[in-house]
Amino acid sequence: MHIQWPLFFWIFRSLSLLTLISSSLATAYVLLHDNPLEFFLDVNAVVFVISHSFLISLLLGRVRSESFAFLYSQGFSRDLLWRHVWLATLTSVLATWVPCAVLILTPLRSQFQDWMQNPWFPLMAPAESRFLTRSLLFYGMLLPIFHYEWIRSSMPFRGRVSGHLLVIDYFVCGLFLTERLWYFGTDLARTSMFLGFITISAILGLFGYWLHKRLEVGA
Amino acid sequence: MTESNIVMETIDLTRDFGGKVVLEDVSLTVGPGEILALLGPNGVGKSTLLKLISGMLMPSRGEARLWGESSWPPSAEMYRVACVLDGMSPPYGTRVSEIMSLKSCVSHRFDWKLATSLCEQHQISTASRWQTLSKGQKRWTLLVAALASGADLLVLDEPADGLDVATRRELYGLLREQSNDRGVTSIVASHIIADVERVADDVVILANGRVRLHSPLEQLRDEVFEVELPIETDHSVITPMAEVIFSRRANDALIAVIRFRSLHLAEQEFPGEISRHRVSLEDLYLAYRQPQQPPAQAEQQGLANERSH
Repeated sequence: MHIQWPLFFWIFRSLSLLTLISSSLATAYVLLHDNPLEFFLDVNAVVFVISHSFLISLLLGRVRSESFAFLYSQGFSRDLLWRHVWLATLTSVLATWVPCAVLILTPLRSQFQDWMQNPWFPLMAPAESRFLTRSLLFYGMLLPIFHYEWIRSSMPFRGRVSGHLLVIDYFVCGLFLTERLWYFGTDLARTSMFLGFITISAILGLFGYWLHKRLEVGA
Repeated sequence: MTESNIVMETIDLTRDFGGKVVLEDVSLTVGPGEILALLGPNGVGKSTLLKLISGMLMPSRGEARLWGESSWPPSAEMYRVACVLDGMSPPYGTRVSEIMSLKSCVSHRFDWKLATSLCEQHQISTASRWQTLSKGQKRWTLLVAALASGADLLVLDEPADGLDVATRRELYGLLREQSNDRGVTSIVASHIIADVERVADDVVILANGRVRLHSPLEQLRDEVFEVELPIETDHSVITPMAEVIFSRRANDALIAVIRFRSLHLAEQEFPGEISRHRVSLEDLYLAYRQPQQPPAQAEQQGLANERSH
């Protein structure tokens, strides 16, 4: 993929403050949290990922703003813009989580907690790498939905369908988050739920890409 | 104009917003190197037309084509179009150099030398931030980015907004220069008619969302006159040889803005009786803004007005 750096920086500019805040919060949380990190048992982490994903989409999808219309009137192809929107999204997520990954995997966090005389460490340290993969997986599920939603709601023929899909998604998401299903459900239920969620995200991601080509700007 | 020679074409282009039709059945063609002046009162659909042309809005019906390809959904050819449209500005804190850099990644033809010199001439440093510029400097910066972009089509909505008279002349001079040197086509919507009259090749006047007039400016200069006709003129004689755009009664004469279909025929019909003089584009625009009415009705209206006085 050919990256147009001026375009990337232009788009990422709107995420820079959010990324700085989210990165600081996530790093501090990962370093200081005194229980072993387990993503779906940790409400704070789940809320953080949902909020971060939502704010990324909100900031990138201000379709009615003058700056959005300006960017989209500059002659870039919609494909190029879409790729750079995702690149900026990915950068914000990685800038937030790479420092956390460094803390968990090096394992600075474990040493710090051990130094703080936390009895869980270093015993639980190896299990914490799942925290990273699950949080990133959760981003992967949420971001296509949120990006789809801002595009869908800006279409001239917008209707209730997108809202319904989003509600379904949230519902699925809510179920997904219930530890009961995740930890005590059957393998079939878990797998079905997981595949269903992935499928919805993938379909909405593709729809988002398709609709973005037809996004009206400056209406 | 052959199909391969058309830069921009609209076919029955229609757009409504929530059921309110803003633009209806607009069909236009613009060739390479032409400067098209788009005129019309506020709210008549000029900006909507420009946004439809530049692939920012979806037509409700019909289509706009750029170099033969539909502009909706926006094609990869959009890099050949540079727009300066109303209600679009870079975010707070952007530097002038960033605007130029952004534009330069759209097209490898971006002329940095031209951009820098045009900015410097107007005391705009490329390091300046957007919010520190005056209204005119902001407009000029966007125009410079468009002019230096190497685009083949410039779509400009009120480009002279906030510019002083010297800068306006410089702008239109640059448009003409780009048209002559590189065959750049420009579509310019403006309320400052005297400015566009200096450079325009074609004129389009929109009224109530429809094209009221589309004609080469040179042809209008040759064909449109304000005439003073004897009050007893039989209007059925005029109609075959001319279109009466606007008419009013003044004293014992009928003053009309007329577009002659055949000037030769008119001179034969009214030898020595017809006093005529050319009208400026501004006068023509004003004439087209008046509600259309047949000359007989205008005459009756004139008489009624006179009686009431």
